[in-house]
Amino acid sequence: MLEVTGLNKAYGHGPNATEAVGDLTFKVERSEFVCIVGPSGCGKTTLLRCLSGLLPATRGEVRLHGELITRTPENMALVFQEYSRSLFPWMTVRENVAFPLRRKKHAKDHARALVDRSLEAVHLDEFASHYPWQLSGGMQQRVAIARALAYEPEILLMDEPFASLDAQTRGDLEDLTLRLRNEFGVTVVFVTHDIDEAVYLADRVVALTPRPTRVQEIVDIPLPRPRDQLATKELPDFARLRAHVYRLIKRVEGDPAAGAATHHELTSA
Amino acid sequence: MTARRAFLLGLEVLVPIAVVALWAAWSASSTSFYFPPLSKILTTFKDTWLFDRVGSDVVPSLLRLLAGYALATAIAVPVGLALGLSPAARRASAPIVEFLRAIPPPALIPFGIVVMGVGNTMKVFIIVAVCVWPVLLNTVDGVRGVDAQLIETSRAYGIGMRDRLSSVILPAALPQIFAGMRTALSLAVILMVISEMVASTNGIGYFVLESQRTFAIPEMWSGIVLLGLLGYVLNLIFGVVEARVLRWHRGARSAAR
Amino acid sequence: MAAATTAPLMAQRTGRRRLRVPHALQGVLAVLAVLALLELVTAIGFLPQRHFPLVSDDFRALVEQLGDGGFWTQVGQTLEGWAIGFGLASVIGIALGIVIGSSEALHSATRVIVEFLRPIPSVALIPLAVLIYGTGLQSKVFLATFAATWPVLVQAIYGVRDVDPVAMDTARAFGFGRLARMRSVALPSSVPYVVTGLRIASATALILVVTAELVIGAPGLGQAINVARSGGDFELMYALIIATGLLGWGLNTVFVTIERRLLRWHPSQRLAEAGR
Repeated sequence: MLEVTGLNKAYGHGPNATEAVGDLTFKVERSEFVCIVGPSGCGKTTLLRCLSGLLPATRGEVRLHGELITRTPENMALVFQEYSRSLFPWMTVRENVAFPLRRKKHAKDHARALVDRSLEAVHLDEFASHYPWQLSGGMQQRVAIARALAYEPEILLMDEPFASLDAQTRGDLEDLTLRLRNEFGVTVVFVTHDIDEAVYLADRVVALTPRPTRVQEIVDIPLPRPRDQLATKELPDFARLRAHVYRLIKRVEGDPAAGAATHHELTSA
Repeated sequence: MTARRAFLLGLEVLVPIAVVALWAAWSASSTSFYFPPLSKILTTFKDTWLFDRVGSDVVPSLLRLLAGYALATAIAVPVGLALGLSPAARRASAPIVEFLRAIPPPALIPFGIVVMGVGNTMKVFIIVAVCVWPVLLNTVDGVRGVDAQLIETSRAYGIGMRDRLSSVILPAALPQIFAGMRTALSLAVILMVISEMVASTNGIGYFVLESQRTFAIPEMWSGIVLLGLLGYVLNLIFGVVEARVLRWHRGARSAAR
Repeated sequence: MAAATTAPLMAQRTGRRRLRVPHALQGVLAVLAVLALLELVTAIGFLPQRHFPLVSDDFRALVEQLGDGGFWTQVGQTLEGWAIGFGLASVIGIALGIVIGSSEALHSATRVIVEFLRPIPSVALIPLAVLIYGTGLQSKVFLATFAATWPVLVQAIYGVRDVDPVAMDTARAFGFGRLARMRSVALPSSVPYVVTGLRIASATALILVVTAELVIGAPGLGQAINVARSGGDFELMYALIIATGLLGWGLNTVFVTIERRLLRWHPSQRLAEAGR
């Protein structure tokens, strides 16, 4: 469904150029949940902006259903990490969710129904007339998710969406994301630096190298669904996969203590 | 703590009253020609401004003020948006803008008189020529300060340029535009007064200067008091409007703290 | 007073992509283009030449003036009024501001008075100034001082009150007395605000000085402009207006430069309440 071929992104020109993304090739199938994980500062966000067409690639291409992406297509929605900066503070929750629908030119009733349905899906229907800044961080990110859902995307790109939330809220939102993905049958590409989160959520994990970013390994996550914060994370397979991804990421970071740390964590787990 | 707060509130209310009372007491026995008793000024104020000269002086003054102010805003905001969005236009216009806005506004009055005569056109022109700059520059800054993430979000959702301007960029820049409009408002009052002092046959500024020239000192004082009240009230009204329009801004800012 | 927002505009211009030469030239080219356009529309008579002399003639008149002693006397008179008014306003504004800002009681007591006096258009006091001080330097100074004190005062109060309470507590924990705390903590951290206030005050003082010269005929550039107008010498009038603009621009540039240098250690403060 989504094909990334030979993607490269460099900033600057000539000898001063720095490569953020080196050479990336991978595919995302329909209804798949793919997590992209990499060491910090490896250009994950740059990658996501290239995928969505917000940033033109220097080389290579991104295709959705075979069509070249040059601007964000109508069947793709984004959720950013900084919810407080991607929600419009002068619009109420309802207006925020309804705003992108202008592009779709729906009938009024239909647009209204979409907004209602997606606010219900994230349990925020009672807060429709609040302003985003009157809500907690987790609720704000739910507004951003509702906005993406109302847009009825086939594919949802999420850029470290829960990174600035506390651990409990984060767990709740992870489960919410999994539930919504089933309900709405949407394909998800989820960028994160949190290995636990990636393994917990994904069907496949794409592990990246540091800058200039390449694909290091694509790890299948054959854990049973539906997943559960306690049961899934207690599975021996989960620990094994987690350790595997952890080693991939840490090894390339060139941290000699990484192997030992992983080992230690494994034995203590 | 509450006792202290009550004390502070008391100070805030009582001290200004005390100051006015002191002025009244000090000037009551004043025989100075220049500083007539406060009671005399107030009586003159009532006789002059309630509502004898409202139609002949206050209304023309206010009309010039509002016309100039509205026109300046109507010009400055769109131009500011355009300059804010286009780095090339901004670079090209920067020296011209810097120079024009550095001209002390009253220096433009002789120019206005030469080209437009001494009528209302000239006065409105002067107000516009001065009030445009703070609004323009603040709009440019406001537009440039719009969070990139907000623009990116609307781009990602395929919001067209028109909606992006009216629903994203303009509201996001609005707090700063208002800051410029506040500055422009006090400038507008000042320029209204100056232009009426230099060349006019009516208006509050004309009245005050004329009173001084004819040594009608209580009248002059009453005009000064009126101008003070006018400046204060306009500022107050502006504050109310701003608070209403930017309700989301205050809330968002205090939430961010 | 007039928008306090040029600095970022200029910083942007010099800071980004310095390598490409044309950017630096764009502004110059635009100025030349505007001047050429004006010259053209006056030359072909699109704008009446009676009121709009050729731009080149205006600049010729300006150059003539630059070699004229009388012109420099007028510049000196204007600058004298500006300097005294601005100096007095700075001293009064900073001193009062720090005192008021560091006392909760004083701040409450004076707030309404300041808020009431500040928006009063200072030009309303012109007649009073003429009555008391006549039509000379003293009137200019009185008006400029009155108008320019407010921005300094308000910024100083704001700056002192915005001092980080943790910094104050730290100083107190180390046994600093009230005065020492004020001098070594409150004063330095209010500097960015005060500097912004000073820049606004400088522009305000110049406006009031020129106004006084224009309205009450105190000697200086403003009066010269008016004389040129009533004498029908429009080239001279435009030349003097341009000169006044350059003076304002020069003063502003000086303050922007100082401000940028001083604020380097405190960049977050620059928005403050500058717009007022």
